[in-house]
This record gives sequence, structure tokens and C-alpha cells, in this order.
Amino acid sequence: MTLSNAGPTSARRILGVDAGGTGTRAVVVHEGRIVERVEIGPLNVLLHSDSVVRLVALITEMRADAAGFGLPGVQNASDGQVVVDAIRRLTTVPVAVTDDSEAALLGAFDGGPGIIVIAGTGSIACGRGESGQLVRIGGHGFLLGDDGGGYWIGRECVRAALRADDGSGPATALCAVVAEVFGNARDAVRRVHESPTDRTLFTTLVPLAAALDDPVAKDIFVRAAAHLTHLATTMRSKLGPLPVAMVGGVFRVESVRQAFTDATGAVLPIGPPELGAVRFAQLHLSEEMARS
Amino acid sequence: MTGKLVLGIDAGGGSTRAVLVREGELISRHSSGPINLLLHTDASDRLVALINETKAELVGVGLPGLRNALQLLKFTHEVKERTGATVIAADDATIAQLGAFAGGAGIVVISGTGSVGVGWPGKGRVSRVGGHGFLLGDEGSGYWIGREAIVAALRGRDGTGPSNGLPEIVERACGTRLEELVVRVHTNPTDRTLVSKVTRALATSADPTARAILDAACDHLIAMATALRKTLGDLPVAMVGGVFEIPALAQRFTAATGAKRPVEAPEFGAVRLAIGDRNARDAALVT
Repeated sequence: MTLSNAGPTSARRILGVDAGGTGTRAVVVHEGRIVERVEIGPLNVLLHSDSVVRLVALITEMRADAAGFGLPGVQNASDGQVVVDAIRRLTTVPVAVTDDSEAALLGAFDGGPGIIVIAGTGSIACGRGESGQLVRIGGHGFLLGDDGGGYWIGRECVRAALRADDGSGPATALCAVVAEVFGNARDAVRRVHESPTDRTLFTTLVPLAAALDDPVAKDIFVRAAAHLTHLATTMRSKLGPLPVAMVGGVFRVESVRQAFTDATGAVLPIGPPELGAVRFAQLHLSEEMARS
Repeated sequence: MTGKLVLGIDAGGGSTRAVLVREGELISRHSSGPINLLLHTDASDRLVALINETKAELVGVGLPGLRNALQLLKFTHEVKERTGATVIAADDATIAQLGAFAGGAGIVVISGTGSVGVGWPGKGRVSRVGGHGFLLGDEGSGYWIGREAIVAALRGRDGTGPSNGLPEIVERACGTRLEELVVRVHTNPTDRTLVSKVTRALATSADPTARAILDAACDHLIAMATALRKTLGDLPVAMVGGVFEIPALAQRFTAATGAKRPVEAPEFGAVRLAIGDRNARDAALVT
């Protein structure tokens, strides 16, 4: 990835942040090189009221001269502006905000055309066409979409355990994994509804289920891969036969990565989402930084 | 029967209804907002207030959000301590079944905000299918119908699903654009009123995708009745809850199951629970 493109920005310390439901990664780029990397906990502007304060703390801690943020839950330019305004009340450092999917796209194709499918806690696809237009599909959150994401996979695991409990589905090794995390399937119902926004209750199950040689678990991952592939093919029908890249923890599951790659010919991202957030800052803040 | 003042309470999904009865005679009716042990921290305070107001000596109550025997014991103990009344509690589905068949054998499928099926074969314990709450199940419920409609609208607009008429129907019902609706639904997941608005709009819509969602909801509810009949035998079926007020859905459900309307409302089932119409242990929470 070319990091030293914009003259006035290369001499500055630029913070790039990729926030997510299970973890947040940040890098600082200085003179075209990554000079710091840091990981902090989950951060969602929609769900966590202290997220702006935490982002500002990160700017200070990393001694950043500018920052780009890829944040889940930022759906459009006006959402982004609300966050920018809130941050500006607390710091004079120039900041640019987009959603986590555009940051991932910018990282994956270094600002060029392409399609990124992201499957972390949620799922979303973001693409940039040859003429520069940006398209997003999916990513409608854990209540209304995010099919094939980590929350969705974990929820399907619990649902399968509940079906086994009811006698309407087979009892397999997956039930033991659900019991290991929740006590039993009934306790899962109570705990999940006691804290609906704690999405780690479900995502915890993903690596455990992935490690099983279990037909019910396998079927869930097959369906997850199909949902994610469908995002890619829908994007191609809108934008043309562009390259596809994948990012996010769900693709660490071998069977999902394999099925998705077979179906889409997916390539590896050039850079990670946090570097895409740096790129976003460079693209949107070069004037502001030149003035400051 | 007993000469005591008996209060039957259905603290169900959308509202709380209660009846005060003495020797089989209805004395008064009461209604207030929903009381859910899982969602409301003042649940016992409000029940205590209702019991004190009616001066009931014997209380039967059906509660949503009741998940285990320990929680049930703690709850009934606390209410007893604070009112002096004898309190018998069960989950809300159990009292619906008691009322629907006037204490007799039968299967009820309940679809309001949530959904569940409960059957009692005339002896022993009750059996249950479905439920599991809005995050994990409740297929065919009011929340499920509204959510499916929003999901279909989003898929239609994204191009990940077939193009359909739901984006307009959903946006009109909520008075907000789909993007904004997604944010609002997630900002307060337990506030299900916004999704209910969509359900109400769907109930009167002639849109083919809307009809298909209502049919799918109904098929989930039919499957609950079928599963319980498989376990318990060929018992009569009754339908309870607001979703069955959608005529097309009630008709489809009746055609498949031969379902009837309940003999009595759930709050009268709660009176039966209180007077021991069925062994309280049989009728109590099934986990």
C-alpha cells in the first residue's frame, strides 16, 4: 500500500482506527510507515455511549496529528458528521469518519475499484466501481440482517441446541459446546435476553463450533459461506466483474474461507481496514492538515 | 371452590389483565401495562400493588419472562411476604392453556408479541414448544412478522432478495426511512413497539410479499400445534393472542388445525391455577 502519496500528510502522525463489535485495531502511520499498532476492546457508536471519549483518548495517547475512523453503525455522511462534531468538541486534531466497511475497502484495494465482503460480528459488503461510485449492501445489524456474520453463526448454534432440546432437531456435539458456554440451552435463552446488546455471548461460539467435526455445525458454516458469497455476487451484479476481497474473523474459519474463495475467486486485501482508515484520513483531511 | 377472594392475573406481553372472583362470580376486572420479570425491575412492586388494591386472599398469576424454578420461588415468596396472600405463579402460556379449555386437556398456540405452544393431555405435566424469546425464536409472533417484513424490505432494496413492495409499506408504517429504522431498532432492542407498527401495517396489506410473510408466520404456528399433537395425541387446539386477530392468518390456522377460540381468557386460567383446578405442580413452570 502506498502511504506517502499526499505531500502535506506524510510528515504527520496519522491514526487509523477500525472499530468492531469484538475488538478495535488502530495503527499510526508516519512518513509512509506504520510506527504503532494497538488493540482496544469493542467499540460501537450506536451501542456504547462512551465511544467518542475513547476515540479522543486514543488520539491523545497516540500523539496523532490527524485521525481516520472506520466505525460500525455509521450509515451515511450525516451520521459520520455527528461523530466528527462530537469529537471536535473535545480535540482540535482533524478527524474524518466513515463506516468500517469503507475503511476495509480502502485498505483492501488501496483506494481502487473492488468489492470487500466483511464478516466479523456482523456482515456487510462494500464496493467501489470503476467510475468511483460507492455501494454498500447488508450490514443491517444483529436484529435485522448480518447473515453469515459471527453473531449470526453463534445464534444459529444456540438455535440448533434449542431444537435438540425440543426434540425437533438432532442432538450433536454442538449442544455440548453451547452448554459449555451457557450452562444449557435454556440458560442461553435467559442470558441472551438479559443483555441483548452483548453480542460476544454469541461470537464466543464461532471458533468452538468451527473446531467440531459435527454435521449440524458444518451446515451452519455452509449457510454462512453461502450468505457471504451472495453478498459478493449481488455486488458484482451491480458494479461489474470486480475483484473481491474478504476480511473479518469469520473468514478465519477454514471451511468458510475455502467455500467463499472457490465461489468468488477472492483475493487477499492489500492492507487491513485500520490502514484503510488512515487512507480515508489522507483523502479527506489533506487540505485541513495543510492549513494547520 | 372456596369462599375466598381470588385474583387471576395475566401479566402478558402487551398488557396486564386481572379478574377478581368470589365463588365463581366475577367481582371486578383490572388492566394495566405489561409486567415482564425479565424486562421490568419493578415487576413484583406492581403485582403487590394490584393484590393490595383488590384485597385478594388467593392469587394466581401467569408471568412472561419466567425462566426457571428458582426465580419462580423467589418471586412468589416475595409477593406472599409483602401481601399476606397465597400466591401461585406459572408462566403465561400455562394459564392461557388452563383458560382455553376451562381446566381441561388441550393445546394452545399463543402468538402475541412472542409465540409459544403449550399442551396438557389431561394428566401429568404440560408440554411446550417454541418460544425462546425475540432474539432466538418466537417464530410466527407479532415481533417476528414485523422483523421479517423489515428484513424483506432491506433485502429487496439491497438486491440480495427479490424486489418487492415492502420498503414503501414499512417506511409508511414507521414514518421513517429504512436506514433510520435500522438504527432505531438497534438503539433500543427491547423496545418492540416500532416493529409492532410494521406488523399492524402488514395485517391489512394486500401486497404479495406481505401475504407470504403472514402465511410463513402461520405455518410456524401450525407446526407448533402439529409437534404438540405428535407428542400428546390428537388434542383440541385453541388460538390465543393478538396475531390471531389477523383474519387471513386465523383462517389459515383454523383450516389446518381445526382450532377454536379459547373458552376463557388467560386471566380466568390464572384463577383456575389459584384454586388448584389442576395440581399446582403440574401446572407450574416447565423448564
